Amino acid sequence: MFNINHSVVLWNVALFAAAIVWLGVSEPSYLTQLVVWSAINAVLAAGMRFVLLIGETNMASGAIYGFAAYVTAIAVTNGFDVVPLVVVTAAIAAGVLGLLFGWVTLRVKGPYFMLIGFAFTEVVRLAYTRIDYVGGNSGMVGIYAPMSLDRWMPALCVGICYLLVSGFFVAEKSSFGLLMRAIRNNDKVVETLGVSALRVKLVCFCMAALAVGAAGAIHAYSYHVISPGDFSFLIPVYALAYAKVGGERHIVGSVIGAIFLTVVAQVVQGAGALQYVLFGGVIILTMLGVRGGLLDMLGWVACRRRRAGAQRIGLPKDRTSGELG
Amino acid sequence: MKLDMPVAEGATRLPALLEARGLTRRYGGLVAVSDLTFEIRPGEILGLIGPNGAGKSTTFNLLSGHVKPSAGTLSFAGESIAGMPPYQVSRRGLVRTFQHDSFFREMTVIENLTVAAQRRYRSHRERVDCARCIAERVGLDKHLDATAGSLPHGLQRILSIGIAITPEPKLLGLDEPLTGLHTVEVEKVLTLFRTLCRADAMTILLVDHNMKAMMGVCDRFLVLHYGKMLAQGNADEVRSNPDVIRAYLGISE
Amino acid sequence: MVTAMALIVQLALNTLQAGSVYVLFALGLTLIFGVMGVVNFAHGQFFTLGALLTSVLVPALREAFGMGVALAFTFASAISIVAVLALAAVVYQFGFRHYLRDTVGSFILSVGLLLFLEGVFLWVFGGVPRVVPNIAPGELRVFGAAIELQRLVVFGIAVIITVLLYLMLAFTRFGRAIRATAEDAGAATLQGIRDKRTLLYGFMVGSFLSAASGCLTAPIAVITPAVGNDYLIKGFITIIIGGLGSVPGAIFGGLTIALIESVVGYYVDGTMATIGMFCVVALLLLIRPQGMLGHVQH
Repeated sequence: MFNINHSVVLWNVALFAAAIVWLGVSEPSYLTQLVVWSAINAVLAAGMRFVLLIGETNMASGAIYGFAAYVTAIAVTNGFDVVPLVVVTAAIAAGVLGLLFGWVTLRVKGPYFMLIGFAFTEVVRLAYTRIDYVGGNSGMVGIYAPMSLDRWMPALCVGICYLLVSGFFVAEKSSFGLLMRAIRNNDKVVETLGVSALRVKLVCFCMAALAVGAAGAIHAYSYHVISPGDFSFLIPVYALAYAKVGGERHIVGSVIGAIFLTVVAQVVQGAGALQYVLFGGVIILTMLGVRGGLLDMLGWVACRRRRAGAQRIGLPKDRTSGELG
Repeated sequence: MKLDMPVAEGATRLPALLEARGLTRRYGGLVAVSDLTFEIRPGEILGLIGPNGAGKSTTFNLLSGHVKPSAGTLSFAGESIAGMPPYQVSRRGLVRTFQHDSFFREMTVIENLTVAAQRRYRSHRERVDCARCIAERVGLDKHLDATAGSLPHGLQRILSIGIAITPEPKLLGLDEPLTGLHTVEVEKVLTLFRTLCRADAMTILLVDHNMKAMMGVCDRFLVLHYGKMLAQGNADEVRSNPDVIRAYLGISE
Repeated sequence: MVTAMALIVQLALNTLQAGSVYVLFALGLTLIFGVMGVVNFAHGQFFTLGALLTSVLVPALREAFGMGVALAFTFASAISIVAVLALAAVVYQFGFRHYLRDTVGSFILSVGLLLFLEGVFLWVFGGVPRVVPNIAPGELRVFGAAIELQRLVVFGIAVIITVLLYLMLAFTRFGRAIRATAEDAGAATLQGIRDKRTLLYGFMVGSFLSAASGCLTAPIAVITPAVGNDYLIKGFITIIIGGLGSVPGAIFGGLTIALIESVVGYYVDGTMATIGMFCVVALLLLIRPQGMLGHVQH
């Protein structure tokens, strides 16, 4: 619980550096775009999973994500072009929105919280269509980073996403993360320890809101065009799908799920109505197939190879094979 | 190191730890408890007894803040706690367990106790150390990495008590800690109570149906009947009280 | 010039009519949650299927058999409902049965289903808006307010179904089984096989309600494959107001949002009405987290 696995950290840093360098030197292409989109979705998935740790399904992330995107668009259209500052501002704005929403709604749990979050996302989307300042139904265009930074944007975006996901991981492994899981298990007992469950939930929710907000800012910079329809209930729905399909047990599952489903979505892109069919179909198949998602599937594969190897040598089979870290 | 004071002597010198006056709780037309007046003295083990439906759970919940009183006053260590939310009551030093699952089922024993140390220490390392310490005190040091849900019932109860004592409460409230345990496990838990009370002069409020065990460990009793206080006193006084005998036979067993 | 009386009566009529359909839809949602512990995101898709099939079959039947509109509508609805029930049975058997009481898991499954079905409907029916001709031409005038006769018919049918549902839940053995399962899933499971079938039938009754509200909406609205999503949001708001698993709550909630929609829709517009509904719910959550009539959550 408290040990730092040094090889894991080293691998992470190496991978991170390699990715940043590759993104920096390559010409912006379809592939680099795909990497950026996967990274954004990984943050959404990790954010969704983070709130799942307190036992709640955050359907309001669509509104929070969109809010940050709009704040970014407004900032850029008004001439603010210090990218890190804009991202931070958008994230903080998202955090504040999250705080307000959470303060009202975290008093309720489970399906109620899920439904009110869903309603919030949809209502905020509707609100955008009525506000002319942000372009109403047509949305806003021309959200670009300054020219000089253009080449480095993919690297910057992926870098920020990577740090956000790492942040979630560190938070999860800390005492606060334990507290969050304890609330999911039994919030009444947590309260007997003098801790306000509502406060912990609120802090968790705001942390997720900040990260999702940063991702929203990156969304604006990466897609350059935003409109209300981009921020519907499908955002949290997809985030949940990435997290569950990838494997809820570990944060890496969220990343894997995000990458996998982002690629699938791109593959079915041009198929019109069929893209919903295929995307939905993939989700259904995963949910009906392996409960633990892709992580468990990969683990099962790795485990069978280990077993086969052990059999060949004649070693006793590992009793706990199939359990991942 | 806490002083090992004989309870009877100490109790009459120090002011009451918890005082309830006219405590009442109504649910619409139904009166769950009415006009309860009693006190809990520092260092004693107080047993709350009565037949089913007598209002024991309600009283317990009134003290811990899970239920708000309809009337009456309630003060703990000199401060009024009536109407305070549970987490604030806990912060004042009144910690309680629950009848079922008073622990974190899907987390390991060490994780359970680390969470319990949340407010006692600032750093993660200190909390983990505290958790190990408590585990040793209650006898769970061989099970640190076991998932709480996989432990036998007796150890789960001990874990609940371990969690509850970690914040160093002034008053520890245990809600039916002996239900569903074998005789051996009951003995283990009772020994733990006695140790806690004698060694740390911890004040304990105990609710349970196991009369034999209660008689053996409690200093004083509050007897409830249909939401009203029927009698107060030590084991002999209560056993020989004609109202109590009339109210429900079998208490003298 | 509209008199105050006429305005009030008009708004009341609109509320009752729109509300009756919302209530049906929400009853289905709340029943499924109460019985199975599942929040079915694809509930709106059953609504859509009912509406789409009806709107396609009415002209088809009229052309094939020369039926009058009302008769064609009756047959079309019946066929649509059977189709939806068949789909519901399949969805339960292969899907939800494995995710009972798992709110999040069943939710994601229903999300996959929502996307899948939405795609299928788009593909099969196309995005063309469809209209069903007036099934009861004419209008009723009362106190200066007017309501189309067909809306009155829709209202009447919705009320009848609601009453029948209530009677079924209160007085039949099946209804008691459903209530038992909703009250305490643990104890109900002890009865074994009967419980599993109760769950299936409960799900089908809930889906029936969704399909019925879809069929009833076909004559009075323009039908596209996206029509269910709008109802879904309102359905969720209804449930939060009324409390999950509560039948009177669904009725109360449905009428409340219909009222907000009528009043705000009249003075401002539909979008603001939806926003207004949401604000009401948020306010409600601050005051009464378990919904107006719902049970306190454990």
